Amino acid sequence: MGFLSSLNFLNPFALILAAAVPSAILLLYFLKLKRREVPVSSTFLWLKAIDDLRVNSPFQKLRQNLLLILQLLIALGVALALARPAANVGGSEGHDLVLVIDRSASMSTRDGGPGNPTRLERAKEEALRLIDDLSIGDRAMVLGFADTADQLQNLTDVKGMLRRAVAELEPTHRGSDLHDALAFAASLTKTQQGRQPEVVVFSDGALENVAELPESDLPVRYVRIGEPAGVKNFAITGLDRRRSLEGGDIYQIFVEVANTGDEDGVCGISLYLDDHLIDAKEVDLKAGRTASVLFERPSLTEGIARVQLEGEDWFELDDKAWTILTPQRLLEVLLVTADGNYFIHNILRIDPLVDSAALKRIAPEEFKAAESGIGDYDLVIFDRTSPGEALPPGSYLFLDAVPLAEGLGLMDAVEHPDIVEWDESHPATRFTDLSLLAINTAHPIQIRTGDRVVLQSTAGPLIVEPDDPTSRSLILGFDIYQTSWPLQSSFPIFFANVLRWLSAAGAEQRGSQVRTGDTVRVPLPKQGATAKVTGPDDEVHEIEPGRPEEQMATFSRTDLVGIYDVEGAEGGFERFAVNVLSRSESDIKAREQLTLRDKRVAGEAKAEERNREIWWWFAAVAFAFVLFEWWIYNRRVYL
Amino acid sequence: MADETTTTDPAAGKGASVPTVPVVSEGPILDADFIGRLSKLDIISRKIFQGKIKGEKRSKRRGQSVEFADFRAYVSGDDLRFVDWNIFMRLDRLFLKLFLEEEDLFVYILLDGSKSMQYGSPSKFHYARKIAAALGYISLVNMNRVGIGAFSSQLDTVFSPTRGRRHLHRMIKFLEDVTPAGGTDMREACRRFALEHPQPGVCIVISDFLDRNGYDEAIKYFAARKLDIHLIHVMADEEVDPPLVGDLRLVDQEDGDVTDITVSAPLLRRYKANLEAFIESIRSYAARRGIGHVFTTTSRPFDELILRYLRERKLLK
Repeated sequence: MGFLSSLNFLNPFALILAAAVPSAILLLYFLKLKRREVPVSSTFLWLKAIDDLRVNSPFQKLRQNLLLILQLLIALGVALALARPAANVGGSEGHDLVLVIDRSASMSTRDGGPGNPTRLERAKEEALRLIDDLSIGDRAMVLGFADTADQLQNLTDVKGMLRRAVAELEPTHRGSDLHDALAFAASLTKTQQGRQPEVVVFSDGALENVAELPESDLPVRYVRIGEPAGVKNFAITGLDRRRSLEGGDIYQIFVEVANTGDEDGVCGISLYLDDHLIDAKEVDLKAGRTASVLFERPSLTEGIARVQLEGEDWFELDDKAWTILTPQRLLEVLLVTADGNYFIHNILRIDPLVDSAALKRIAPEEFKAAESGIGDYDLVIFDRTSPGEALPPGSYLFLDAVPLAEGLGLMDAVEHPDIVEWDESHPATRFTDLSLLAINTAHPIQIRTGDRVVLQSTAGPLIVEPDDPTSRSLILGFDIYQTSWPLQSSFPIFFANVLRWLSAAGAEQRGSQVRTGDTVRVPLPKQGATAKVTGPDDEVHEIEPGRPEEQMATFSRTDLVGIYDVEGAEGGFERFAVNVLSRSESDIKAREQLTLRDKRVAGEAKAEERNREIWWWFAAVAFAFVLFEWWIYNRRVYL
Repeated sequence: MADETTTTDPAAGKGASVPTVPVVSEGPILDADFIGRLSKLDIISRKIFQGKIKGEKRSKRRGQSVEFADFRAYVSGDDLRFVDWNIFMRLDRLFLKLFLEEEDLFVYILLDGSKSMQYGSPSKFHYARKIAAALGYISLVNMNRVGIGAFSSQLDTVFSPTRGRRHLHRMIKFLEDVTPAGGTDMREACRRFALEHPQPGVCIVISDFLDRNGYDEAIKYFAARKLDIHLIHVMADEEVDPPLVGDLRLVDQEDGDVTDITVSAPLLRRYKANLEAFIESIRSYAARRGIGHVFTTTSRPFDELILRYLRERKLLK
């Protein structure tokens, strides 16, 4: 019984055969089909022999039907083999599996070089193997994840549906974050009482945001897909472009190239502008090292710039990156100030981006949001004066002032707050060092959840980007005059950053190049307008504002790398580029262990099956019967 | 021709007079070379037979002939021509000279022409026909009267008793024209043949004896006639050792009777035992009644059967 209770049938439908085929054989026997007619001189000697035989042995019927019995046994053996009997070697029945398949960019790696299957294809194979391995009573669900998770198949025991779900899994070019998938599996535990699902992750283990994974005590298995060592890959991990510091309308393009493989090598980098090669460089990169390359050519003023790594490696997606070079447009800035601000005024005046002729200064009492025509300005700066009314969508900079919004405000003044930290990843603080910023008096900013703190002091946030879906603004909780800032090098850089980020030009710049999975905000010409985005795969997406009153639509289907064309957006926003630019995705070495929030899971090079298939055993028995029957038939030796 | 020693080289001497032997589908019934060797043979009659004319056979019956046999005392009514006057002169008693009377012999050949004889390769019928032709030829060249009857469910055709080598061609033609057809009813056929041919002689029945009604009733008609009877039992190799395998539907060639069998070793054993018993029953039947019996299969070389086997069985000399 011990053996029988651990016996499963992975394809129980074949057992129907086991019933059907023998019945058919029996039917044929009873119908006496297929009897070959043989003329003989006389049957009377035979009749006598048959009669004698019948008299002599009561089991003659049985004996005569030995071939029939053998055929039944053969059919039974074949049917049992087709039912794929398997000995359960992995514990109890009634398992629930959550098959979590990584379809992030790195899963497009072809281990061993071009021509080999991608990691996703191999992950699918492994998943299919586990699905085949499911016993009666087992269930599974299929999740695909990149930076988010999608449920492709709900919990079911129908293998066909599971197989289809796995087969339909499409690769993405996004990053990989297991958070959603694990949360999903955890929620499943709550709804399926008594059955704790087992999570099987098919991945190369390159996960982002591991620390933010939900806590769970679910058993997790990690099926490692891909080579853990000996990989070959050069990657573009960074791409940026900015106006040349010497002014003018020439762009500089910064490329960060990493050798994420295990071999040292020389990597050729080519720069194309609108598909014309305009520059090429070479870097000698040791394994694991990163190099920066700067391209600066007079022709880099407008167009689609494409950086491409030459040569073949295992992972192609990070060998190309695009950025959009937009022609320069001068900004119109409105400065709302009571008595003028010398530093700000001069900063604006000398910045080549700002149309100094159109620079306008008005007193706070003159400012009326509805009348001042502030929608025409690319940027409005409030200097030490908070607007008394709600502002239309736009770009705003508040100096020692706050916009009118619930929960936002300036706290009481504090003396000499010390700088604790600043958000180096924020566009406004790039290339700046604010550690030496000395502030005499400041008004720390009262913030809401969702607001992003850019500069944190001992007294509280001093620079904040408020969470506002319609406008882009930055709040400084201190007066420039009360600081040493104008005397420091970070001051002009910060304001140059702020101008580019807050202004429409900044919006273009920001939107013109994103990473896969990021959302792109598309400015619309008027309320209620829609735009069309055409992806690199020529799929057209219609986008519209999340709320009717907004003039901004969000596009989040940045699944693929390449150029996305935008139709119907406001002034000049015609296209944007989507790149991988991810160090973690480009690091294609498959991890030996899967690192989760609080545990490490050792990888299985092959998904371990719970059932050991023993169909060949039944097939062998059936074959033996076939041989036996053949021998008997030919030699007439039986009985 | 009293015995074979008087014969000169038969092949050379008689080859020319033998008509061209027709060829049938399974080969010639008789070939010239074989015919030559047959000429040395003669049919043995173990009983005394009285022929219609003084024939070449030495009869056991004492009568008018040149060969002296014995004397016996005269009784009134005896033909005075046979009184041995020399002895009367010496002994003064009347004795009659007895002579061995020479007479011709009737050889009857009954050939089974039922459909069952068609079985086998070569068919039993072809084999049986060759035997009939050979015996017929031997009889003709020895100046016996040969009568042949072909039967199936009845007596189909009859070759009336004929004497003389010149009828050889006609006899072979007759044998050729017989085609196996119909079932087997030996009883009726033998009864008719015995009625139509009352003269005593040698009667040779060539058959497979596969008659559902049995063969013994039939043979009785001849036994009652005091004929010298020989049974030549012909069976095909395929009947002795059936090359059958699997699930089969056996169809009786004669009556279309159908029997489903699954060939198995015990069935084959049983069949062979039955066949053995069948052959044995014929053999013992013949032995009990002083009937000659020869069993042969179609694989036995034909000339061996005729030249040696039948001589051993005292059918030929």
